[in-house]
Amino acid sequence: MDRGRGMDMERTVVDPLVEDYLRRLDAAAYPLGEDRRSELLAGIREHIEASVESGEVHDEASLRALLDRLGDPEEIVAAARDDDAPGATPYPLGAPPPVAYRRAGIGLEITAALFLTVGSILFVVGWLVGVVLVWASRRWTLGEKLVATLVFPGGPFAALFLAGTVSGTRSCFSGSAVDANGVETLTPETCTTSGVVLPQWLGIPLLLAWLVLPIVVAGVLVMRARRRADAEPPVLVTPGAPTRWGGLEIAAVLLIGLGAFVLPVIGIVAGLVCAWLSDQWTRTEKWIATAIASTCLIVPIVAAVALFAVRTSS
Amino acid sequence: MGSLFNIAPILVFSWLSGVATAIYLTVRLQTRR
Repeated sequence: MDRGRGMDMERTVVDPLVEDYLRRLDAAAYPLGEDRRSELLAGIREHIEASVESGEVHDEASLRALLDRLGDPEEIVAAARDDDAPGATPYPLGAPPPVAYRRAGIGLEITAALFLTVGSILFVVGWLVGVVLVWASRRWTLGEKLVATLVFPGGPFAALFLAGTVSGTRSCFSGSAVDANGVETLTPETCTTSGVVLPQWLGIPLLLAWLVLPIVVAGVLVMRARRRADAEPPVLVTPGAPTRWGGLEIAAVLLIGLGAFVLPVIGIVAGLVCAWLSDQWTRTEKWIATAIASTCLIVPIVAAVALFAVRTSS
Repeated sequence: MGSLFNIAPILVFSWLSGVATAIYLTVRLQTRR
């Protein structure tokens, strides 16, 4: 096999197969750490390229044979892990790899859907959290995120709240009056309206839509997220992962969740500091948590200032 | 001035935000792979 044909192979057949193989290796090698992973990938890539250069790999069949000889990416990573461990013994070929996989999770998307629907009972805040989570997800398209945000603002519980407080009443009065001369005159019917009164044909369907559609949208979006997550490569389960709930994490959640009762604002700030000190949450999660908690300052202060402005102007 | 900062809504929102944040952090940690 001449060199030219080997190079041709590299350009045509090799790329998709090798890239797919290396992608799987890259995903599986995640627990090894950045340096070890790069080193492992570079080594395997170099080996494949050398085989192509030498002509050992000249068609798809010989390439597949080479990849088979190299073994599954998961097995390579398992062997590398064992090599890295102190006092490690070589990974026994043929034994099942000491790693497990699970399908990619959609915890973020389910949480978003719950906040947009059930969570809307936490007036305004719960729904806002849902919106933040929807926009933080990478499994929904822009259009889906817009639908989730606009159908309907505030979530189902906002509909109940609006129906109970904003909707107005219309009361009519008619009667008679007696003037100074004792003559009775009928007064025309007068009607007064307080609040917003929608005609029944509009009000009832709107209320039902506001109650039901957010739940339908959330359900559809979760199913779509599930389908997209299933199409992603499985996630490596790291055996012996450290405990997730340490003292710092418990302190963070308790201070943020209950601290506001005892020390408004300060409790939450202290909890956020604990959350940022912990390495159990990702940077993105910490930023999202900070954004949610910040509404405790922004929303009431903006509301108070707006209320004050309205009162002073009237 | 007393009407500018009515403390009750601030407390309620503070608590709601805290609860929402705590739920979020808990769910993220619990659903971690």
